[in-house]
Amino acid sequence: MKPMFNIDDPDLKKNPFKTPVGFKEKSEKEIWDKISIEKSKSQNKRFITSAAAAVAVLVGLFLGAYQSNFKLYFNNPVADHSEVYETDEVLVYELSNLEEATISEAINEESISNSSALDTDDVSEYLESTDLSEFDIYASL
Amino acid sequence: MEAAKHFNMGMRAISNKQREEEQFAELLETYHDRVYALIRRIVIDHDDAADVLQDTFIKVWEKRDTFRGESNLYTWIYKIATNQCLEFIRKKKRRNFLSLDTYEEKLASKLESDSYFDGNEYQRIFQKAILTLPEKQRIVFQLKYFDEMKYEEMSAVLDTSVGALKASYHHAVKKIEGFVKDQLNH
Repeated sequence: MKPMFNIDDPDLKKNPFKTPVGFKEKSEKEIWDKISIEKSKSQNKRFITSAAAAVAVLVGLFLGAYQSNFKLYFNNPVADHSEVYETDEVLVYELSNLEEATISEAINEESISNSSALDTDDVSEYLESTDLSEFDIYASL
Repeated sequence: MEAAKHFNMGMRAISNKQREEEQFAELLETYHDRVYALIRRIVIDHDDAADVLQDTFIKVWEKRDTFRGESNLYTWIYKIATNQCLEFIRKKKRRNFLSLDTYEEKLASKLESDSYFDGNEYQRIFQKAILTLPEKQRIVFQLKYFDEMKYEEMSAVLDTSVGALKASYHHAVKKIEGFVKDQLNH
């Protein structure tokens, strides 16, 4: 005879799933093993993070100290900067002398050539307009 | 003086750690079987249940600092367990999407051949009927029917209102009755 279905049947409330023998002990051991792996992982992570933080702090300190020394040195009017400037100054001096010499030479050359060109042009124009010879002009001067 | 202070702090940390481990061992001893039974009824297969159970207790260990004692410890553990079950089922379904049989159909056929199933034919049909329910409704039914959990506690476990849980359980019972009667009449 087929059973009549009744949701409140106490038989239905019984757990029909068997647990294998020794499962609890095995399962608990595996859980503890996994937890200890997780613990060592998190410890390693913490170690790596703290080591990275320490390195970052050291680099920060070094950079800070380096920068403050640099600023102190260049902002200090009492500090002797001659050593630092020495090579640069010589180079700048030489460069500026060279430039000045070259520029003045170039200006002189141009002014000379310009003045002679003007002179010649002026004289020849004057001669054409007056019908005087070059000699006459120079004699009249 | 400073060294002694550091030593005391270190000792306190070790004793806290020891106490935590002792408390967890106690918790594991108390809830292992209950949580296994819940997970097993949801995922059916023993090996799957063992995996989900491990993940659940590892989560409990990892989140031990977040338990504030506002809720009952066992509802907190059940919440983690049900979330782990739902996550496991979703993963299985994702992997199973190319298969002709649904995940629930596979579980139902597993019930036929499961050597760890200790019930009679009537109970087997009943378990198959539960498998026809949507996964969250299945959990609602399991918690109410087998664990006799109060709706207020279930509400904390499933983050669902008491009214919605009552309606869900009522629908679940109707569906199961229909399925079992149908099976028995064949």
